Amino acid sequence: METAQNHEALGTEPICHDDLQARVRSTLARLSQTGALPALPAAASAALGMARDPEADVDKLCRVIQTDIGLSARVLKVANSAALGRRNPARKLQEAIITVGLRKTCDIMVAACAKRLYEGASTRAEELWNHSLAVAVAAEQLARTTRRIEVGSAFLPGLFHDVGRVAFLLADETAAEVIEGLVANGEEDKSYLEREWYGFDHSEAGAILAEDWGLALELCDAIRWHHQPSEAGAAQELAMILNAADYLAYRIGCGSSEEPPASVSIAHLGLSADDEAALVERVRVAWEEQRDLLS
Amino acid sequence: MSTVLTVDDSKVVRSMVTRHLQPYGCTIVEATNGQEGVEMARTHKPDLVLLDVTMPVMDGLQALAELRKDEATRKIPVIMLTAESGRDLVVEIAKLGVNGYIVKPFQQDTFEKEVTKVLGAPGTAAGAPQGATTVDPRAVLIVDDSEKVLAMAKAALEQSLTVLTATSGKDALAQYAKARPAVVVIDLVMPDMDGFATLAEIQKLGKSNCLALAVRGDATLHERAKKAGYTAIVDKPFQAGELLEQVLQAGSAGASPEDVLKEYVSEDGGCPVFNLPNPSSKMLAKLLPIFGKKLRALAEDGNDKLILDVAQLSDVTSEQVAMLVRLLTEAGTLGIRTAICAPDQQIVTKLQQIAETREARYAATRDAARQCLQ
Repeated sequence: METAQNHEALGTEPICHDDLQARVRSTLARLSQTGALPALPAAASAALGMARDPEADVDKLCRVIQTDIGLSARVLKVANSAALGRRNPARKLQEAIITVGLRKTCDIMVAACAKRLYEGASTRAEELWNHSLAVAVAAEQLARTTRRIEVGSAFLPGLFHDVGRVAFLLADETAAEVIEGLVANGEEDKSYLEREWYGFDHSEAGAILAEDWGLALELCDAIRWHHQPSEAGAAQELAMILNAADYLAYRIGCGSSEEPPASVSIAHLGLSADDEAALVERVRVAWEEQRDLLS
Repeated sequence: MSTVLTVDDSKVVRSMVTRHLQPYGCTIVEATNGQEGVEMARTHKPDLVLLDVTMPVMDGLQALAELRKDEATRKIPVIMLTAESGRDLVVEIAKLGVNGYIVKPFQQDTFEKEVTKVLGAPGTAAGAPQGATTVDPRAVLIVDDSEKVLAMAKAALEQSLTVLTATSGKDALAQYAKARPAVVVIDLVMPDMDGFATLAEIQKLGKSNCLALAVRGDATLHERAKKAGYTAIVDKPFQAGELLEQVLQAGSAGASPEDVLKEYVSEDGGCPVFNLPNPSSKMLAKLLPIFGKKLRALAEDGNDKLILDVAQLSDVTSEQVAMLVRLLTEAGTLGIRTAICAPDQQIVTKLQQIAETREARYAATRDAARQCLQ
């Protein structure tokens, strides 16, 4: 993340957003085996586009989903899950989309495609996927409980909040291991070490990749500042939700590290200890359900 | 066992370097800024310094200058480490005599490619180097299966350089490992190990500039040689002057300004002397700023006399005249009086036909030049 404090600590000059974006892209592309940046399958990009398109309708979404047999089956499976409580199982894709909802169907499609990307992140794939899905589910639950942001806008930034870490692992597993080792020895925090090594941290990398994949800019800003919500400007509420979701994910055993993240955002969101305990349980149940549906 | 000094203020970079050096089995010493790095280089005499550019206390450029200034450390190979944003700067520094540069963040293969040029491949004898570990800027190795060609090349070069010869690719590798010459001239067509196989092996051992010896006019062979990594082609049969010029040009490509100054700037009876070289205009273009800087340093030190020695000139070209005029003008501006030492009267006559050099002081010997300036 590019803050004045960071620059002072690292002895570097501040850099404008466009230049940083170019640096993130060129560095990740240079480190990758193929010279290309991590990409989402076409169906996911189309779903992300639909999620932002006010003209999107069930037929349009059906056409996209039908390009991928795996996705059609996945959407039907979600529509017929116990959580949605249909009396008669949906047999057609149209019925399934109406049951699940247009926006939620897009989320499921993106999550199913993203899982394939995470699977490339070798030894850490499962841990990272569980964490990302837990944060996505927790962000959705927090949005519903606090009503501070629209429920439908929480899942995808939650899912992608740590996608920069996936990109780092895909680029160079050794570097990720070395940084983990230094963090474990108490040498600075992970984001600081990432900035020293890559010139940017996983939050910045994740925000820029999400932007490339078509996520709305405000959602990308929330990803960028999920460790420092106060810097997020217009995306501050969502960034706080992500920060708190990170903490809830840790509480259900899906943290991104052994140390718990700061829980300041829980209090800032106006939630009591009782609310928190109830939320943890709801997140646990919702996460297990989503994990099974996407497995 | 080799010793590598890594100089970087970032713990994560030092840790990555340590990790990537593991296959080389070398001793690693660390410094966190340029000043500490220079001191450790003097103490440990490492076989390689990996030097970051941006550091507190003393940055990499200052540290490089310090290392190059000190006789004890000036020949230690240095690879610069730079952030993506500093790549252009380091490409410039690289031209001034570092052995390579690596852009951060780097992966094992990129790191290994540069480090192997100095330490040899991991796990090989070169990983624990035997023989010379630093490039000898005054040495050239000629590789040709023809004794006649070797004798001709030796005759053309030995007055200016230390000449080593090898009659086969295998022999060349042994000679190269011992002496690490700055330039290697290799015949492309040789029995057993040809010029391409020899080049590939030499590139694994070090980073010298290699010139290909090839029959004049064979465009396909020339093209293949350039693709393989040869710096330039020396046509066979060659003229002595042409060969010398190409070898000096190739050698100066990786020489530091200090090396250049040592070769072309001297002192005679307390009077500074600039020796103007015969070779190509490219070489002159490289020398001119170095001479200019030295001129200003001489003026700052209170010098008011300078001999421009043109004894090496075999003819007067427009580039050489332009250089002389620039030096005469700049010296005049700085209050330094100059005399041109030219033993060859024909050169003097030619220079006196040119308006800007007509009025200069000429002398046939350095003693006479010094007297002119009294």
